[in-house]
Amino acid sequence: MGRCLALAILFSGLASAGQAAEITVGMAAADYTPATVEARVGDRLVFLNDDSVDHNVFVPTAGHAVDLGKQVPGARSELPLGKAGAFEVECVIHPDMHLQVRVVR
Amino acid sequence: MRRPISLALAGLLLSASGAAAGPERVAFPAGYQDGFVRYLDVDRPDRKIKRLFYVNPAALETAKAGDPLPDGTVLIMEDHPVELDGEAPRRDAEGRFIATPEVTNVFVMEKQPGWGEAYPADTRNGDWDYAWFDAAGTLKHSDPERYAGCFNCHQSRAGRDFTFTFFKYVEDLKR
Repeated sequence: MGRCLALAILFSGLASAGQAAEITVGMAAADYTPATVEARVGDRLVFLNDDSVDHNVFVPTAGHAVDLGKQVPGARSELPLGKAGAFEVECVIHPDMHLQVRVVR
Repeated sequence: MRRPISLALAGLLLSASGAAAGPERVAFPAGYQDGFVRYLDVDRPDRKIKRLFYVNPAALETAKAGDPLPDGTVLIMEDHPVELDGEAPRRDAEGRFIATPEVTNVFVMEKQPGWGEAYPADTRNGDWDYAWFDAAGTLKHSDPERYAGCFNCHQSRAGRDFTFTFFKYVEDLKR
């Protein structure tokens, strides 16, 4: 699973400039991996619950706030990035899970 | 099952203020759409809703970053269905959902001194209590057991005075 995730992240990083990228974020061991993401407007975050427990992606930052709902093990959720800026991603269930996202044009 | 039973018992107890614990002591904040401050909008794709968050102005004014929120804080989470393009939510120029005028739920959490004393330690959310209204201000559920989900979920944010959004908002705004 870890190798698949690493390949997904590597593939995302190879997306050419101007082309929307899909950036996969894992949740194994109740940690977002990677813990920081740099992206462009138009890219998309894909959250893969590769953990053994439920998670719930939640962004509390004003202007970017979203709640993707409960995500069971094995499930994916998507977050299109339509706006530049920086925001934090948390988990409703696990308060110590954090991901920092910076989106540029 | 232990926690809902505890909540039901708590509903029969009296807090320091003399009011019965539970949703009945949380007043519907009539006129909040004009008198409160809307501080956050949260898109909820899985339910195709947008949630608008409000706070009473006195709480926003006196809240300090990193400190417990002031007594008398009233937070509102208001649910709206979103505009759809077929089955998918329509998005604005920044990719955000567009709320329809319809209000389907009004969830209120209020903090008052001593309100938490009626609840067992493993359930208590500080001095907060919760209520769930319709758009007209009628309480949807008066049974305290229906609020076990509120207490359980907000426990995860004990370090932020049991709020998912407002404590963080104050930190971002004032720190």
